[in-house]
Formats: sequence, structure tokens, C-alpha cells
Amino acid sequence: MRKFILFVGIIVASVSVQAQTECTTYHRKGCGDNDGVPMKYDSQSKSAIMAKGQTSKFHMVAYNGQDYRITVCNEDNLGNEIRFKIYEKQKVLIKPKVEDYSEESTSEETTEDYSSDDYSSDDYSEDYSDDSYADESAPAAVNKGPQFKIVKELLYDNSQDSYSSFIEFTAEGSISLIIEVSVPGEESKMKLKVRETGCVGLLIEHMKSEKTGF
Amino acid sequence: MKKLILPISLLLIFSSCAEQQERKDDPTVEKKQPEAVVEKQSNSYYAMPSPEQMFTFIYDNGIAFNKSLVLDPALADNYNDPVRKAIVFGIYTADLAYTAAYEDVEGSLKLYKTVRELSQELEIEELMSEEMMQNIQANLENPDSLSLIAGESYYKAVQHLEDNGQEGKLALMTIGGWIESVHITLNSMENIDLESKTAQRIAAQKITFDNLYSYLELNNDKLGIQGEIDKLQEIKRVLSSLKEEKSLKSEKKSGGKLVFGKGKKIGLTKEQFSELKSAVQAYRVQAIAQNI
Repeated sequence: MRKFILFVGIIVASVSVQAQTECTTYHRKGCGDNDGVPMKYDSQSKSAIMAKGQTSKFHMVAYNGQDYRITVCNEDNLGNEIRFKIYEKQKVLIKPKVEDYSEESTSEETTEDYSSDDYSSDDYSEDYSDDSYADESAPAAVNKGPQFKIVKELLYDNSQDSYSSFIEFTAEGSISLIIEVSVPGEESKMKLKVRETGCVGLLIEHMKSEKTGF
Repeated sequence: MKKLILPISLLLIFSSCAEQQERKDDPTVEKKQPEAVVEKQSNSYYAMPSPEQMFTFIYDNGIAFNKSLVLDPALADNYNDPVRKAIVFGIYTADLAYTAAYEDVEGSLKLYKTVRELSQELEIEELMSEEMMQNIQANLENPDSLSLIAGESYYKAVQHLEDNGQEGKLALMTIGGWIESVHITLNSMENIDLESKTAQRIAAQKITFDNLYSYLELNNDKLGIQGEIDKLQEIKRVLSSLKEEKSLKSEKKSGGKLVFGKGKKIGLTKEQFSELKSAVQAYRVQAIAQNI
């Protein structure tokens, strides 16, 4: 019996591995059926396996003068209310204070909800120095250069748009975006069961913005 | 480039230890089907536009082709160090995208062969098929298809490396691709008009580089990545010094389409342009140096 269980296990595992490999191209097959204007495939597109209750952050760049379409698609077992929010990520100068560094770190902690453990850019921002932002009135004794916190501003939330699976927008400046994708359901604290996971695709397309008016 | 792109390769584990524990707790366990589980992976992914996007952009904006900016394919055999080889692979992949965007069929064919040979050495040869090579030859008269094929090679490389958990190689390749696209663009601009769209695209590399850097930091335990992070510090310093103006609130255009980033500008001075050019040049020179 044990051998049988092991055998079935190996079969399940190999099928699942294959499914995961196939999942990397899921956005190409699963997301491309909306009726919008034809746009070019953007290599920033991505698919991943996600579990119920899981939230993933996807960082992308949108260039000035381009129209973008972002489509989120998923396998049926994850439900039909995949939520995605789009944030603009900006670096904001934290004025260094020589007298009280602890106050400075408090200020970073209060940075708008950007302290997720898995987000390495927080670390990056901590020692992010930028001479052009230097506050000339700041004391010269600061060891590091000026420091920044990263803030994100909500631009779009599809739950406010009937859980639309796509959004089109024009970038009128080059911006750094975070797309936060959440699968409904209760997050598993333990190892994730394969049947509670599925492919989620993020298809990004772009085209040169067309000028409107005369 | 996380398309930066970043792999969420989930590991399937069939744990016999867990199975044994289950047996102790539940005598009926033998009736249960074993259930595969997946381990949670990083929830952050950093993507980068491909080099092809940069070259299509400069082509559309009237920047002239300069074949001398491409790394000579004949040098490809001389890279033995795996780290350097992966970076050079990224460089040649970007060069292929460049020649394809500018419809240089002969150059594209040579570079495709080079990229293919390097991919064999990097053990990712299955992404460059004989069929694709034949496609290129069949499409010599059709430059649009050539560009599509070149783009496809890049996506396939990214995908293959992601699928096989080779984030380290992917990160190195992404550095090479990004460096080459910026090197070619910076050196193709004859008159530096800081208000031009191309200069703005150069300035926008500040945010593209941010994603690349974050991706590298996520993978800094992989072979050679920390060393490359160290070498990129001058580029980081220059790009960090570019001033950013905040965006205004998002709004809807008359047609109902959303507008993001209105008013957002990343400033670039002539000095910063020159500094960036030097920093990129310095990085590229050491990356392509032979016999190291």
C-alpha cells in the first residue's frame, strides 16, 4: 500500500511540476481574449502559481508616452474575484536628523504600508543616497547621504470597478508601478496544497499613445 | 527584465516524514490519497522592459543605426568564466534585438548564431531551436518577422531560466541586456537634446534600474551577483542623483481612459548624461574584457 501511495505521489508530483512549468506561460494563453485595441506584448508580463488567500506584488515600469493594458487572469479553481490594485511607487526624501536617529527610523516605519517582510526594496531605500536631494541646510555630520522612504499611492483598485479583469491607461510620465494581486480565500499557514493553488497570469501590453485632438 | 523578470518557481515536496507523522495521528491514513503540497515562495516579482523595447523606441524616434556599437560576435568564444559568460549572453541578446529592430538581416543572423552557441555553453540551448534558425533564414526578406523572432528568443531565454530555477543566470543576463541597451542608446545620440524623448527615456532608466537592482539584491546569494552589485555602484550613484518630480493625481481622459504619471518628470542634466555614459561604459568595458 505504501508503495502504491508513493507511486501515486510521484505521478501527482510530476503532473504538478509540469503544470507549474506550463504556468509560466499562462498569461499568453489565458489572458488574451479581451476585445480591446490590439497592443504589443510586453516582456514584463508574468504568470505564477498562487494560493487562496495569497497576495503577490509585481513591480513594473510604465514609460512615458505609452498606453498600457494590464489583464489579470486565473484558473477557475481560484474563483472569479481576483483583486488587483495598482500603486505608483515613489521615493520620498526623509530629512536626516543628526541629533535623533531613532526618530528617523520611526518615520520609516510609518511609511505607508510598505514594510512587508518580503519586500527587499525597503532595505534598498534605507541606504538610498541621492545627492541631488540633499538638503543643504541639513547638518554635515550625517554619515550616510540623505535617506528615502518609499511610498506607494493607490491608483486603481479593481474591486471598485466590478472586479474588472483588465485596465487600460496612458502613462504621461515614466512611472514605477506595483501591481498587488490577491486571491480570495483563507491563507494557509502551513504548506500549500496543490488543489488550493492555481495559475494567475498578468498580461501586459503596450502601444505608443495616440495624440488626440487637432 | 523580475520581466526583469522574477521567477516564482514553486517546489513540490512529497514528504515521507510528514506522511509518517500523519500515520501516527490518524489510523485511517492509508485510505487517503497523498496530497502534493507546494512551498511558499517570495511574493515579490521585479520586471524590466526588454532591450527590444528600447531599440524599437529609438528606431521610432529617428536615432541612426551604428553597427560599431555592437559587441563583435567573433569574441564570444573567449569567455570562459560562467558569470561573465552569462552577462555577455545578455549583451549579445540585446545586440540581436538591436540589429533586428534596425532590420540588419546579416548582423541578426550572425548574432543569432552567437547567442545560440552561448546558450549551448550555458546549458540553455533548447530555447534556441534549429527551427527558429530556419525561421530567421526564411524571413530574411521580412524584417518585421525578424524582430519578432529576436524578441521571442529573449522571452524564451527568460522563461527557460525561470522554469529551471536559474535565477542567478537570469539576473546576470538581465544586467547584460540592460547595460547593452543603455550603452547603445547613450552612444547613438549625436546631439544631446535633454528635452528629447530619447533623453527622457534615458532618464527613465532610473526607475528601470531600481527594479533591476532590487532583483539583484533578492538574488545576491547566487553565483557572482554580489560582485556585480558592487560593480554597479557608480551607475546607481549617477541614476540616484536624477531629480524626480512627483506625479499629479491620476485622472480620466475624455475617452474614459485613465492617465497615470501626469506631471511626472525625471530630470537629466548634461553632466549627469556624461556621468552615466562613463559609468555604463566603464561597467561594459570590464564585463567584456577578455582573458579574465
